[in-house]
Amino acid sequence: MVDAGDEVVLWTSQGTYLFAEAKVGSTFRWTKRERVRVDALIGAPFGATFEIRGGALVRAAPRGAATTVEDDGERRDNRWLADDNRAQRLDADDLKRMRRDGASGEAIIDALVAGSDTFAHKTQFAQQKWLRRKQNKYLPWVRVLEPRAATIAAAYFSRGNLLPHRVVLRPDTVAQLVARANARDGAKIITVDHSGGVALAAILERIEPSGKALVPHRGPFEALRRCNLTDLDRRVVCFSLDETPPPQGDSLVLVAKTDPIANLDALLPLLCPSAPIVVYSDTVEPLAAAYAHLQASGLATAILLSETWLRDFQVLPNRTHPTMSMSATGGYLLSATKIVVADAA
Amino acid sequence: MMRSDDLVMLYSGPDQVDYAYLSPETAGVYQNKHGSFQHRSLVGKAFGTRIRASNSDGWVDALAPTPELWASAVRHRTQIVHQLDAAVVCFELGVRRSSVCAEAGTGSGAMTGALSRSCGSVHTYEFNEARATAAQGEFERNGLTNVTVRHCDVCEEGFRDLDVDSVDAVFLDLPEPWRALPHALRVAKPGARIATYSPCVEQVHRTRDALSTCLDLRTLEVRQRDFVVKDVLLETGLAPPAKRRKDYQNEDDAPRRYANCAFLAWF
Ligand SMILES: C[S@@+](CC[C@H](N)C(=O)[O-])C[C@H]1O[C@@H](n2cnc3c(N)ncnc32)[C@H](O)[C@@H]1O
Repeated sequence: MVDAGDEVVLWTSQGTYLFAEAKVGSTFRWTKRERVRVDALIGAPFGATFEIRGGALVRAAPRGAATTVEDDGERRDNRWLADDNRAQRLDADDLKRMRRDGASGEAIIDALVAGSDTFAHKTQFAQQKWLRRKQNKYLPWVRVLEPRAATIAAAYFSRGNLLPHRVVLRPDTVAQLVARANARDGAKIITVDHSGGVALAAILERIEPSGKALVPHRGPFEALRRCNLTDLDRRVVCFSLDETPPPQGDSLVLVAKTDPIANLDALLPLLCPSAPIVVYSDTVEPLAAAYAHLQASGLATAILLSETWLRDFQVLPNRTHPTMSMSATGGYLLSATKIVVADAA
Repeated sequence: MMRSDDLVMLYSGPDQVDYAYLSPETAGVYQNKHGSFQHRSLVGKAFGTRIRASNSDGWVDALAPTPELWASAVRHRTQIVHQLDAAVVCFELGVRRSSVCAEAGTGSGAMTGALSRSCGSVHTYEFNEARATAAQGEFERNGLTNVTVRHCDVCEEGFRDLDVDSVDAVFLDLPEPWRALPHALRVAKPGARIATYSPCVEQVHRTRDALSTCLDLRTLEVRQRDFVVKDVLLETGLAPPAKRRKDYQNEDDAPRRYANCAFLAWF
């Protein structure tokens, strides 16, 4: 359930993510000119759906469940369709006018259907798809999501273009990162995180209740606040490289905008033997150099440089296919395990 | 520090990961194509030590167990969920210490290891009695104390002993997940996350139909591409390079060295 004061993630019918704080009177920016009040979030279960009506969220029936469309057997095709963009008799000005005059979303959609020369010729499936697209636009809704690490990672990734000074991680790369780092309860994970806290959030989710992230710099980690994590001072401990005795880590995670070789040289000595090492980079060359560096050092085994490839699918009867656009790269990961060599004796 | 009876992972290459339970008292020996390694020579050393063979120049790295290493070493009684997929499933399920997870089928227990690392408790179900017993034995020996194995057909009997609305995450890797899903949905809490793993698209269709009451469905595929790193020497000139290396008169003539080039090992 959403408590007053919680940070939440909102997933919108347009397929975007927004951040909001569930506080009485608090608002989030919806369009350039429109802000929306969030009061209705408080007390709702995570996963609840809301419509945006009159500048406020209004609790609504769940949306976006899997739709199964029966083939109606009718043969309709687009042999009559003229590709001249004139199939719609309403133009942008008409729509603007309707909105200004306070027309409801339903009224706008009805007008669009009436104004469409092609709607009647579409197959039932195509009609539903068309309607769903218009509904998502003119009857917008949002779903409130629990801000777990995967949700935060997805939200940051989809807004990545807003964060040029950050490392932007694709969510499945974060998944590989915490797995290869063997992040688990009680582990002390030395972490350099220049992703704004996205990597740290995933690590903290895995090392609770007694693990710690040891960080050599203080933030910015604002993603942690967005996860409603409490007790951060106990779980994220700042250290300095000249501390005596130096801290010891069970794993090393580098998600840095800075040079991996220099970072490895500084931090490898702090790792206990058998500690996993995971380094992220959005280009492969620095990691290829770091690979050779680790190999030459004799301090690491099981060195692996890899990239993951991710593809989403639309799954519908007779219409299953990979989604049209996929992200070209999720960046590169270099992973290894620290070793010591036994004395000759 | 490695002690008698400890589970130790023995790494000598990506395709050669083994394990041993150290038994110095009974003169235990680990043997592979690189040589033989007395368990005695491991005891007392730190996990993460490179060990020399007693009879050759060979070496092996004695590492602390992780679910990833275990998955590459475990004896396959079935197809397993590899670490690449396991990582994405665990992350998307959002499992953490407070999570109760239900899994079917147990199979070789590779996925169970990954779930056990992150969850508070894992209830895993397997209808093949020999596999259930073997997995249970391994979990006990490897100290996976938060795992309970039940010998049961989840499509027929459901998730035996689990209450309605009691689990936070469900993972299904069996041939007909759609037959197990009604049972899974009964034991899942509202808001619980569910993941299924299927090789064939026909299975995915039937699974999606069985999930029609759920929100935020997503079907995805992940793959891993590994890189090889090496230095590359390239001669200059427009003609193809001679088969045999020339003697180079001066520096300008010499082939150019490109350090640390990465290329795909396979696709
Ligand atoms: C592919 S294996 C699972 C492998 C496992 N995920 C791993 O990583 O090792 C599928 C297993 O499900 C079991 N199984 C199939 N149908 C089942 C059912 N109805 N109830 C319980 N187990 C079942 C099979 O015996 C088999 O061991």
